[in-house]
Amino acid sequence: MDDSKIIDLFFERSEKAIVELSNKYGSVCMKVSMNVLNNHQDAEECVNDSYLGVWNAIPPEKPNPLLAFVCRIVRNISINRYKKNNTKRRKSNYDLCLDELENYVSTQNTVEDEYAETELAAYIDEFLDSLSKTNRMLFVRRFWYMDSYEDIANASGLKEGAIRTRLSRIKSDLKLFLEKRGVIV
Amino acid sequence: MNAKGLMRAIGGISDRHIEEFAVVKPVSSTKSTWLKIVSIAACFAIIVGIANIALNFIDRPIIDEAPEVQACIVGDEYYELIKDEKYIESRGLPQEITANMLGDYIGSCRLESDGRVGKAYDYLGYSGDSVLILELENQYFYLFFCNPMNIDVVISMPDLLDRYGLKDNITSISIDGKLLVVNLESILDELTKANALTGNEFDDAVFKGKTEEEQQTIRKNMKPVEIVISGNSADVLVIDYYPSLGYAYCANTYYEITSEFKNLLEQ
Repeated sequence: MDDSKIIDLFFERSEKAIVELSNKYGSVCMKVSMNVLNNHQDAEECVNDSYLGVWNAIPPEKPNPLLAFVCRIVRNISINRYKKNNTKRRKSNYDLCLDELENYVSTQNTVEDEYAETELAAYIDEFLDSLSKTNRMLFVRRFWYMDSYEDIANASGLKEGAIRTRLSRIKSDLKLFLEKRGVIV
Repeated sequence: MNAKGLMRAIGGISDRHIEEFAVVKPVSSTKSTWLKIVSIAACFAIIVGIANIALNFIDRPIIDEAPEVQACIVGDEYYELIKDEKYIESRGLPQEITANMLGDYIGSCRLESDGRVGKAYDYLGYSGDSVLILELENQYFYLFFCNPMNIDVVISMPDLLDRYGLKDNITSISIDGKLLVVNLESILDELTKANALTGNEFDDAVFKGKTEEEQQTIRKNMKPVEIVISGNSADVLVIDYYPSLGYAYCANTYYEITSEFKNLLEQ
């Protein structure tokens, strides 16, 4: 079903909207949540919470693209759930992504950081636009969707080693890109 | 800023970037993206290919997984630092690197992952400079040639052979695992005649003027076979050859194979 028709169902307050949303984007949402939480039950709950979030947001929101809107909600809810879970678990892809970024950032967190993150996102957008499509895909799948290297390799047809090498270069380039704009990360 | 802050910032990127890669297809649909993917994969495949083939020849277990690598810059070229013992063994190199194995100082070497800088030296055990030794924080590591940093720089076939210490020093050639025993000199002669192209030139030569469907068909038929070239006291060179196209690929360079080369192979 077209996104616009799904949104129409939300506007009509039809419960079929959730069903259609789940049918169309459920697997993507589960993947994002699982990458963060590494726990099927938690991921399922987060995805359901996200559907509720979408239900509450539409109307008045009329998101376009719908997929990015839903995925963003899933990602945020999943990360928040992850932070609340104090139990010791096997590292999720979220942890691994953080570990990888540690080498590229200073450890100090300043007062301005919260504000800077919004601006930083705009700079990262600009940086992504400057990349080739392949490199952009690698960065977005790794650090936004938090896919494992194995998943990216399977999906893209690239070797895991090549992906690691390429992402290492991209992170260095991002650091330089941000530094040139006065952003010290 | 800490890593969590950076992750939050990444979380705030534009919808268009999120949507663009919500679903990733193997080998993308645009020719330029395809070209870049093949370039990256093929570059790394050289390393994996050498490992697998060398291990086959010496009857040792095949490396199933690609060794973890770190990209390094020496001059204006990418090398890769690989510590994996099996991989090092597969390249015929000793595990322990000692000072007496170091040749001339080549230049500084910067690790892309963390910016550390070391010194790169020629490896005395092999002719050519496809294998270097990195001295970093009082430790030695092997560096393996990958490709020039500039994608518009090509390496001619004679220069590529020279890079691997194989110029006038070839002892065997195998194609798709089959050792060539006849017409070796003629095959080599034809191989060195191959015209070197950049990725964009290759792209134009193969895909320009073709419909999307035709391009898809070409891509589907592009199944590489490995040309493996060995020599005395030299590294092993692996070139991906695409028989359906008559092109080969190595180190970010495409090689337009002569028709005579194909004829000799068919014989």
